[in-house]
Amino acid sequence: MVRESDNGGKGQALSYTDVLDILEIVDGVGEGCELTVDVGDFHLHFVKDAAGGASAGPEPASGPERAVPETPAAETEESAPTEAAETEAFSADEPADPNLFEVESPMVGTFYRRPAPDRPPFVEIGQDVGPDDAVCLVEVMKLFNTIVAGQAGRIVEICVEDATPVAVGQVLVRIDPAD
Amino acid sequence: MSREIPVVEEALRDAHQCLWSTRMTNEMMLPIVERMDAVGYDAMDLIGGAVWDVSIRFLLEDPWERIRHVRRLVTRTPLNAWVRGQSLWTFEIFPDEVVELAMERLAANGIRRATIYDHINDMEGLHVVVSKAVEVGLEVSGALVFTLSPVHTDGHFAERAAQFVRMGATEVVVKDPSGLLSVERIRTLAPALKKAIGDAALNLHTHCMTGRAPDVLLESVDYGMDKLHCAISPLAHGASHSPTEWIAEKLVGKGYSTRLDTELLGEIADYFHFVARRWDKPVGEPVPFDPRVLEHQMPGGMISNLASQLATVGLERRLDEVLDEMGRVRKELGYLPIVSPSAQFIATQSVLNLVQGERYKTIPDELRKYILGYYGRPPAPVDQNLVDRVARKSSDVVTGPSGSHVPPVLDKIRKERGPFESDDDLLLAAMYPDEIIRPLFEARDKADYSAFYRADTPADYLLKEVRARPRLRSFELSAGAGFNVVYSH
Repeated sequence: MVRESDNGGKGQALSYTDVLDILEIVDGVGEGCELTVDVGDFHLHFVKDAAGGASAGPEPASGPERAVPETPAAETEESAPTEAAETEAFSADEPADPNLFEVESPMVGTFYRRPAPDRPPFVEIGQDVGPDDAVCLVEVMKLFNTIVAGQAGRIVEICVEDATPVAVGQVLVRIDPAD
Repeated sequence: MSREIPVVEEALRDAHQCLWSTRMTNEMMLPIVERMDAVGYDAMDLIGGAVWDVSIRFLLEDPWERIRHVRRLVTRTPLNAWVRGQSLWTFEIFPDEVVELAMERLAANGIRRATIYDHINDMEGLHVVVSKAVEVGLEVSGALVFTLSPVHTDGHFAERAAQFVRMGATEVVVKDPSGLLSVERIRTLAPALKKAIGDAALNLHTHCMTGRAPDVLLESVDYGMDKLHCAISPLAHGASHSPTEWIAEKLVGKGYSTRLDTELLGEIADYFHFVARRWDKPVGEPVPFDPRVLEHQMPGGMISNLASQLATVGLERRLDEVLDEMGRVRKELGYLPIVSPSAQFIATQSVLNLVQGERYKTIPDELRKYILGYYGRPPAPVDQNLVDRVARKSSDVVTGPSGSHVPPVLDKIRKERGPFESDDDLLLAAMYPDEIIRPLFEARDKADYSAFYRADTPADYLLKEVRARPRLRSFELSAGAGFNVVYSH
């Protein structure tokens, strides 16, 4: 049974924040208890059934709703690569041939093999490159850096998976220098 | 008769961008906007770069649709959209056809005022967007990004403000994203701008992160400022704006008048306190003045981002060095204002310079484009050594408006990625890849935002919550004259 009347207009007798305060009081009182509050014009009285009581229904939703959970994408939008990721990428490196030229990452960032998701990779293994040819992108603090070969030769190894974190100084591509 | 000071409300745009990481949803705003329409605001700000991007990527709410829903409920107060010149709401530079179509669609969907700016205050790059906005009937408000540097004199800003008015702007905004304005500076800047813009209205949009904004706002009206930008108190302070209710009260105390319904402001403040608690969002707190901000000029959020970036490369103890380097880089780049996206250029280049131990060994692609002139003319010339380092030949350097270097794209997008339901969707496709817009369209088809048009009254909300608690056998509440709830089961 519900009876309700309010003053139906401007100057709310009860504000939204009052309601949250009252609900906090309700949720803070143990089951099987009764509470009466009278302060001036304000009167609050409620009775809570004991746990397992005859009229006890399912557990109420605890606390206020939390709508719009942050999506995983939102969680990671500002995040930088973790140390774990760096270690893993490093340990995957095999002992390098000292004759090979190594293109290193300038910074902690994200490695991309393609200029855009719908475009082919900058380079493939076996491809010949000049010193100014782009070999990959590294995204640092939301900005893309085109990484050039820095050495003429043939691509012999692409050391990092596309779209994965890289550490500063990490080897990205190995080039067999042209004589 | 006392002069009336109109107030622009930032609750629905900048305030939650600054305090809630731009995560205010349609569900949070739609129930209250009809009440806000009755307050007497000069305008309500609704759209801007961060709002656009976050609502599309993370909230999966189409910003065009948000504009339409709010417009249905807000019939009197103009809705405002900030427009970052030729980049609109992203960091990309779009061709003129995209920018022009966007202005048409803003007006058609219900935006009445466009506050247009260029992040480096390059006026040449704003002709297309401003003239189109005027043509489609938007009230144009030209914003100038305030920053501190030897070239950013009152005269520098006044010259650009006058250009805005000549281009058709009826308002000029001083946009101070890092709260750098002081009471002393506004005493000279406001009169200089007023003199330059004639009958156009001068607005002040200054953030609170240095703690000085409320004083600067109140001082500014004595020096000719016409309109102030504020945020309802739960969404004020911090990196946000000065509290609307407090500013309104102080204006009256100073002998000015406002059109704001103060009782209604109280209800709106109560509603946003409720939203903050229900969705676990922070309310803004006043920030004490930190003089260091005046040196690095970085917004607070950016400092903490930078600190966490530095920690990942073991440079967390070198924050001071990075900040010093940022000062040098900024000067070499022509004293860019520290605002998106130029703030990212400066911060990233400074970190690269320190990490690599050789300055400008790696230069991000976008910064290369900036140095070559693709973003327009910087406030001061870029250091020639830097230009020489980036340009392989002198013809690599370009001049002219930023939009003139970008070829048209819409026909190609229509052919390759269409058909689209509307020009609104076509524009979304011009700004984002399919991976981002397809999930947005799917979410949009399922959502029914009109369900949020009417707010539960506090009493309705209380009853719903009481009913949702089956262990409550009886519940009675009376609160003053005429309010009584009795519930039992």
